[in-house]
Amino acid sequence: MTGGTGRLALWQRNVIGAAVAAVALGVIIPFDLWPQWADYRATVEPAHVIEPRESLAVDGQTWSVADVRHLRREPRPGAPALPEGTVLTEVTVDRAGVVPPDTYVIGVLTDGQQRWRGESLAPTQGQLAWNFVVPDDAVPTALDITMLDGSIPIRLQL
Amino acid sequence: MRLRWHGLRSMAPALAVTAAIAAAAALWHNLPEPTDIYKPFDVHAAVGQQATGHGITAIVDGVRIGPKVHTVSPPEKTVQSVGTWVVVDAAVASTRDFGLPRTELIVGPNTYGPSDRFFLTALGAELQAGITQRGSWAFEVPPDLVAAGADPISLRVWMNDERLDSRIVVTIPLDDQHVSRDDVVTLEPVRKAAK
Repeated sequence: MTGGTGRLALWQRNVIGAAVAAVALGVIIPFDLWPQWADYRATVEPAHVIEPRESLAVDGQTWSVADVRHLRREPRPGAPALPEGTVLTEVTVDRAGVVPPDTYVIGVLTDGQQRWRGESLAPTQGQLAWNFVVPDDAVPTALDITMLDGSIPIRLQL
Repeated sequence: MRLRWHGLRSMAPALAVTAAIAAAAALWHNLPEPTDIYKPFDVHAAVGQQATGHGITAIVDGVRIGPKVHTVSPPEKTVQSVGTWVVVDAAVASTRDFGLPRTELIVGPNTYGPSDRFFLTALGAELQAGITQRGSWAFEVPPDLVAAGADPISLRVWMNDERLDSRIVVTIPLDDQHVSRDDVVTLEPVRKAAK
């Protein structure tokens, strides 16, 4: 109090204002901004990266690349010919363990700059497989196991 | 003199508050609309000119206008328009990611989406990085809006969600140099090829 007027000193009001602002930021950042940022980062940075010829257990499932094939022709009878200047890349992934029900994943091939969505082939017990039509000069380096919300829980380096 | 200065000083806070409220009200009534805040970044091009935006490229090769469209790929069919068909021949490609190409045609005061009657023949399938799709979009519009000598029309093309992303805008004059007019316009199937 100053001069018996009942008003707080300027520095006291500044401290109160700064405290209120700090509390507001303390609520907004962890409960609003950070979850949105984390959701975005999960679509850019994979949560787990598996090196070539290695496997990794994630949430009770063990993942590894079983096979990668590059084909100049569509092997399936009756399927349309590949577009000019493209190749077909088939990636088969071993997935051992208990798969939670209603889990749907997308296979996305990447070379670090470009991304291609795969056409899912009929899965077999313990395996997933995708076909990718990519330009013949592209050099894919990894397969991203991608959820429907775009997040990447696992990156399998090829 | 001293009395006048003292009166002015006592009125200063009220004047300042009035000015601040007036400025806030003026700002409030001139705030940008959400459609302006999130609007896409237009990349303008002419017919025959390659336009490159963030993650997408497109080129309009030409425009054909006619009352009927004939599709040559199965199912082969001829479709009569209640107005007229504007068929835009174009090539579109994604440069980085997969995604759906979106388009609309601005004709006079109206905006038209591509017809879904040529779902299997027209452009619109998912793009994959580095693979160009060459084909056509067909729009059904009132004939008088695209008559010879009418104002130019514009094709807008973008990928997935246009908000705060590139949108290619191609202005198409409706003269004989850029537009051909036939009774039946043939819709060729989409061809894909890597660049």
